[in-house]
Amino acid sequence: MFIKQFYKHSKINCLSLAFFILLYCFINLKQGIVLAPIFQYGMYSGKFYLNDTHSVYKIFINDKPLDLSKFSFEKNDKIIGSLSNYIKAKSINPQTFKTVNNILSKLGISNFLQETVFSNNISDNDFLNWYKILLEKIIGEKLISLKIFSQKIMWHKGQLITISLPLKLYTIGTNN
Amino acid sequence: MVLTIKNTKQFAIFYLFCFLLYYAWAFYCNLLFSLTKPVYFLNKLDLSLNLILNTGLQHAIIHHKWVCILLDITYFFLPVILVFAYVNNKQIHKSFALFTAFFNVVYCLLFSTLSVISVEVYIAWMLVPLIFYSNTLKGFYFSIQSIRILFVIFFLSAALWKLFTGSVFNKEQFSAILIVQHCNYIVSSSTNYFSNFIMYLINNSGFSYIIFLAGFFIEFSFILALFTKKFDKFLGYIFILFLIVDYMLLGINYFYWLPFLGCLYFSKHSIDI
Repeated sequence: MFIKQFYKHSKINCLSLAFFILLYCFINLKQGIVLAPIFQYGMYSGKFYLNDTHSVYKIFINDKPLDLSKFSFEKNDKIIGSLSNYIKAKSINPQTFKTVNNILSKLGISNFLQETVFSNNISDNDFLNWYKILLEKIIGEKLISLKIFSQKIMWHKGQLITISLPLKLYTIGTNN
Repeated sequence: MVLTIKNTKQFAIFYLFCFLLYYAWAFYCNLLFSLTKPVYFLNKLDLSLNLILNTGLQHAIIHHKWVCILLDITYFFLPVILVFAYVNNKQIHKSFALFTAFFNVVYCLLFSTLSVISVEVYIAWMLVPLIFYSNTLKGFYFSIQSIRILFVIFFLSAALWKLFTGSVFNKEQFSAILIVQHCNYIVSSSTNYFSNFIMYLINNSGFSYIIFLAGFFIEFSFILALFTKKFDKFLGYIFILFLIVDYMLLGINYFYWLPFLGCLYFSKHSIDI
């Protein structure tokens, strides 16, 4: 048996492997915080339904809607992911700091984390300047105006339909 | 088939080849610190990550380009030096193996928090360098088997999760996943051929559910690898099929896990114990 042979060869390495697997099982069953390099590999294991609602971003560059089909998956991830992560970070970073701090306090290590380093010192303008450069690089065109909206959508009768009015998030170079 | 020194070197070359291929891809897609030039980070519920963030390294990356360049260069050269040292039997490979694994954990965690790439895809770069810690054939054999077991558990756990949550029995599951994954794409361009294809799959829940079930069975079939090595070659082939379909339908790139295939391939070699 592999484990028996491994234990005979090196007790420390064998026990390390066993400990890693046990910790992996524990973290997965507990379903909360992870401890890299121990992660949870759900790969879309949560339940999803056709009538779930979703938020999409509508991006207008130089008054033209951005067509994502012109770009690779990686570029699309950058366009949409960078924007959604920035918006998420505003609420998630303070929440995560609080949760991790509470966990460390329970472990008897309170006040270990320095709150100041856990927030982004960036204004919306700083982000938009960076995002503008990213978009210009991807689309290969000078960006004069930028409008970003978010809108709720859902799948209905074979197509995606909007179920809310577009909400204006950010603009550059336009008074509209 | 008996494991030889030649096999250990072949594995080292395979690992380096995968890494160089990945690095070239990362360079091409601007998925390195110095090319992304990040300006913000998104924290995650990961204790290791939070301990790293507590050092303030993420702010150094954001504010100093030289830190980005230094990290990218180190990230590139560590596996190269590690494989060179390992293949040429330099004793330094032991410390390099540990340092490369540790550095890769830090680099990948930080890159994931400062970019849009999920950290889970980087696991092979964090664990596989540990195989080169060993300097005997026996040590290599046990290391490669250990990483093989971990890879199998990771991949199998995705199937177990689907059973646990019951999503494997949800006939709408894959159609709904396609909406989550591609809704921005479809909204921005509803008439091109890929949108039409995805919308066809969404509308034909039965057909897309079969694809989802096939993915589930591929994940679940890795349970075999916990009991026997007989099917490792077959599992390797279906894993590649999984990676291709995952990328083509969902745009999720799990090709970063390719070094694990080396563990499946070389696991058939045995040693005298």
